[in-house]
Amino acid sequence: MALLAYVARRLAYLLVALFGVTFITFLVTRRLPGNPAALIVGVLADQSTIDAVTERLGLNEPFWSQYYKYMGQLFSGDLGESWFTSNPVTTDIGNRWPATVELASYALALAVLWAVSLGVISALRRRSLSNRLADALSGLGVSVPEFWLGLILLLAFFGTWKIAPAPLGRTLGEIPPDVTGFYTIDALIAGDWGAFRSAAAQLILPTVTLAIVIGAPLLRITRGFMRETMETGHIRFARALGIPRRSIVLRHAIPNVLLPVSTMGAMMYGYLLGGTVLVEVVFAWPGIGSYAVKAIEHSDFAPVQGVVLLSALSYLIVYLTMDILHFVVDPRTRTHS
Amino acid sequence: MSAATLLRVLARAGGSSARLGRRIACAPSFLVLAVIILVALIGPEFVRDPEGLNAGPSLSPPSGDFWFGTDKFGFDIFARVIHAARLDLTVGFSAAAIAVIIGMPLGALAAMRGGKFDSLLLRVSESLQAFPTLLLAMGIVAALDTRVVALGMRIVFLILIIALVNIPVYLRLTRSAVLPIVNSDFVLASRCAGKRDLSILRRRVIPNVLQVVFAQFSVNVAWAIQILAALSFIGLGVPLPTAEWGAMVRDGASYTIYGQWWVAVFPGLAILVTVLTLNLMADRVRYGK
Repeated sequence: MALLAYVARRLAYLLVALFGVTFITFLVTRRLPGNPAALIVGVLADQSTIDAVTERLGLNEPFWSQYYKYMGQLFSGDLGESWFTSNPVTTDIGNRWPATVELASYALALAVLWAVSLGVISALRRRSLSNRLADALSGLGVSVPEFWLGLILLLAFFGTWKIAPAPLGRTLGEIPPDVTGFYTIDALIAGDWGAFRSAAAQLILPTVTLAIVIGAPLLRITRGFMRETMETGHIRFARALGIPRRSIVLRHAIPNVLLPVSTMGAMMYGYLLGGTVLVEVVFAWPGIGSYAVKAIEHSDFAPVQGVVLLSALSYLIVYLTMDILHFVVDPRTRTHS
Repeated sequence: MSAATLLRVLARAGGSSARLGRRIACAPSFLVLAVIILVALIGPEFVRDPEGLNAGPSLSPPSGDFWFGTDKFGFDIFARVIHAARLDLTVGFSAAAIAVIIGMPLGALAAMRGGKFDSLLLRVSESLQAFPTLLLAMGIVAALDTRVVALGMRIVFLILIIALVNIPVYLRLTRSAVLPIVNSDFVLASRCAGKRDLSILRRRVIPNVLQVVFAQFSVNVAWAIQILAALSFIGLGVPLPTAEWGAMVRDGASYTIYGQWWVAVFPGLAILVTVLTLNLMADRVRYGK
């Protein structure tokens, strides 16, 4: 029962936050100074054309009635139409969303793998090589511009050593039959080894780029909490009892660190689902980020709005899921909330 | 409480900042930052014109004449990196300053007042933070894009937009730093002694959160520089031929994989060094490392 009440309350928060989100996207894309209609028709159009387009877009109506209409459209799942692809935005996004999710998922998995393990190891051995390495990697990872890092990796592995494939999207081979939307998994399902290799090869560099960047904060969090945990009373007590260090770390310390680390991981995933824009541009990855950038180049607002909304929504949902998981896993959250 | 009063209060909290100041001045990263700022201030006077066409041959590699090589127009990349330092640091510091001036007092007030005011501010900043920062900035800049053409105005708008997307960060940070202090016994004691909110804020609260806020300021300047560079990289920030680090990386991106690496590598390195220095300084202030 407590769980249900908790989920209901979090869902209510989610709704409130979503209203905020839609209001902001509405403000940003429709209510800024200047007349979008004049932008659409171009500088050569006369006043009557501008007026006609203004009328068609409903821009002459009062603010709240425009917002009301906009919300109505949103609820019926209509994100408008893109001028430059002339598709409904929902169709375009539907085609590109799997590309972003696949990249984001592999990047998160790789980041968790290297950052959490290095974080735990370096926390256990202060003044060691692993600690220095962790310092260097977390400092660099937080500070390096990801688009530049992507370029450097391309320069090294594609330009100089020629061991990476050309950065030309998700695959250079055949596109496997669509099941999950993940080319790598679909290729395996179809049993097409060649398609899998091509898709995986395209994934490596963008995944590594993102994993370095988002791994850095994960590493910091893991190391910080791990150090803190190792100093706590119950770990000291376990040590005093003569429990082997290995089992102290694995059974007593790590479970305590998993909660904050998984929260950070969820935040990073939420960030990735909307934040792979720069890496997508560098590697010509056909995800929603590069879609938004192309739309902006064509002054096409409906897709931008759609992408912004979708990424905010996915962030909120990932975060909510994490919150609920914590509530289930960690009894302490029940008293604190 | 007006914004002006709050600012005065902030200014008067200087007593405890002397210790903080010493701590900052002793950090090695501070020295590096000082050099970077100095380069940004006076460096441009000593190098070539960053927009002087055909200063050298097009796309020539680094040499004694052109330390960082030249780009496709024959612009001197070293001169451009130095000039861009001024622009990037100006945008970074101004955007972070605006965000802290608005976000910090709001966060402190939210923590001190509590109640409806607090939860309203918290909800608003939560929804703002649901947006990936870059995407939000992209959306706003894109909507403004065709309307703001003059370079000066563009830069002002970029500063404001980057500040805007960072305000929630400060608000929540200050709020969470102030909250335990407001609920502490020594503040309760001051309350019992009949001190008013403003005096408690000045004498008890602000000196205690200054360190956290300063560290965050340093981080935030770094973020602002990263966001500006990212916006320019996707073609939304500062347009060519103005020298800006991100725009220069964009310009050099297509040459990089064909061997003309210097066009994109040096400006990117400038971003990395500047941002890393600012982050290290924040660590120093925060943990005393």
